[in-house]
Amino acid sequence: MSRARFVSDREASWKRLARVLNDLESRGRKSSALHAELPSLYRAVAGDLSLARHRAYGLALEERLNALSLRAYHQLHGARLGLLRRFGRFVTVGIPRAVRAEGRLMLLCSVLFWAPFILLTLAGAWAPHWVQAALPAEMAAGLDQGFGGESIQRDSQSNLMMFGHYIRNNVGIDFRTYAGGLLAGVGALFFMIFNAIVLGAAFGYSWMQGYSETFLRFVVGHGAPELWAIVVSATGGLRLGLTLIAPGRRSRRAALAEDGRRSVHLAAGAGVMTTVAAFIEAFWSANDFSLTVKLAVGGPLWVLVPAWLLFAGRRR
Amino acid sequence: MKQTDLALPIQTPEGSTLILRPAGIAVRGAAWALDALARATVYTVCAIPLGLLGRTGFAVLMLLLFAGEWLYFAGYEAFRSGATPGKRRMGIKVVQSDGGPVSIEAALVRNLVRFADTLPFAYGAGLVSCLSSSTFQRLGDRVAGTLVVHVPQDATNSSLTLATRLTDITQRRAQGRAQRAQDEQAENSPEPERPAASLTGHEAALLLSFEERRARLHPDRQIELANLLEPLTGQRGEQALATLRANAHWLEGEA
Repeated sequence: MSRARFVSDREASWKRLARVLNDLESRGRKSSALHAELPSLYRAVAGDLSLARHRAYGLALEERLNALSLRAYHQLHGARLGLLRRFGRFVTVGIPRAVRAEGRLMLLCSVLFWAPFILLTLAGAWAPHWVQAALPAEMAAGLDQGFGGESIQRDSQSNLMMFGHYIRNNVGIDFRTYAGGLLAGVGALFFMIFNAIVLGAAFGYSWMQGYSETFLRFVVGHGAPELWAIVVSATGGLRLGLTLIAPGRRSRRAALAEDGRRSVHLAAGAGVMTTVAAFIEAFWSANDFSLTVKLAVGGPLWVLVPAWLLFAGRRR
Repeated sequence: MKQTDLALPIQTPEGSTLILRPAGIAVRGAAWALDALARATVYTVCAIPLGLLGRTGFAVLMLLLFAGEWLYFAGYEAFRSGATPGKRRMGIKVVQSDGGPVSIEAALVRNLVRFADTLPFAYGAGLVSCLSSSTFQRLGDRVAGTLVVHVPQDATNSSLTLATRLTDITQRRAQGRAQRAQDEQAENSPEPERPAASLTGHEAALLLSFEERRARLHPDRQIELANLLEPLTGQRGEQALATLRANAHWLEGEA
């Protein structure tokens, strides 16, 4: 069969496929009788592409059929439904399951985070020189100014403004911790331990200076999700780094692709937790309620967050 | 015959083989620059009214900056068929390495790892990764299992109804023009003549491609190329060209 004859025979089918694809790409998947033809048209054009290649009908024709096939392939295999429901399930069940899937790494990161944190907090009372060594001077001054007085002083009165700032700053820290894991896991550990030291030093400093109650009133509300989010994102980053070093029985490329897509659930989870923490920090934490009220509201979170990570979504 | 361009064949579940063409660092760099320009423009344009709104405006600006840094790329790639506005302008898009459309997780992870690509400065790690990969994958692509490919030519249809209608009009005009060009060509086209030697399929495809591209080549260049096939035609110059064209038309119509 000559090329001219081939093209004239099959042109109608290709034009029809192009029409269906244009309709799908512009109007989305609102069902229409036209769309039902996509599978058969796609099979037809795939067959035509093989024929055109086999009979060497020229590059232009091959490119055209290749383009049509690729577009149809994307439409057939690209269905994504129920985004909001998927996100809801991710937050309630998906994040804890992802965390438990990396149980050993999570345990390691938890220890590596909480140990320096608690040590530096305790150092505030028993070994103040460690706190002074670890805490940057500007941060110390900021803490003095914010919590030195009777009530919590935040330098800006606008809660919404602080919300924006916390999102940008804190979620950025989480994402950078995660991405840093690619440096053989060292980047993730570095960011996490650095944050543990500085934050622990802040706690210790407030104890040292004697305004630990005021400081506690500020942080107890949002501390749990924020600190655990750092651990979760470091776990994700560590997973990346370990896969890079020890891909096991898979090729490095395949291992990275597989584990990368799984570990991003941890990064996204950390982002969600930090967003919640930022919300609490911006709109609740700076309010000047008494320690009892703050503990009553914020205390349960310190139990709930680890419990959620440990138990939510377990299948019987 | 040695391949000189980068064509990645992929097997679809339906058993057909599709060709992907990974995009190089120049095109991707240009797309990134366009995206950076777009974001900078949005920041600047929004900063003015937001500045007037005081602290609330500052908060919104912070959220905007966060979204622009971390969510812009991932959002467009996940929900707008794999292409940010910059990529769309340069004619490239993100696909998974098996040829399928990019998933939300893949889009997210490749853009979170973007931070690692920017180390130590100006996308240094990303460049090294692209240049050492056979398919131009930067670190984010490797971790997510994605590729950035050129959009196949036929896929440049716009999604707006008005534009589609306009395309119809211009297409019909172009068809009129093409019809006239075809008539012209029919007058100029030579009598089909069987090639002097029997050609393999690949060689026949080459001749057909030459006839298709001929109009875009300078006449001297056409003759230069025709002279290369002197062993086939036994002629040089204008005669060789005419013979080759006759051969191509024979292959087109009666092979």
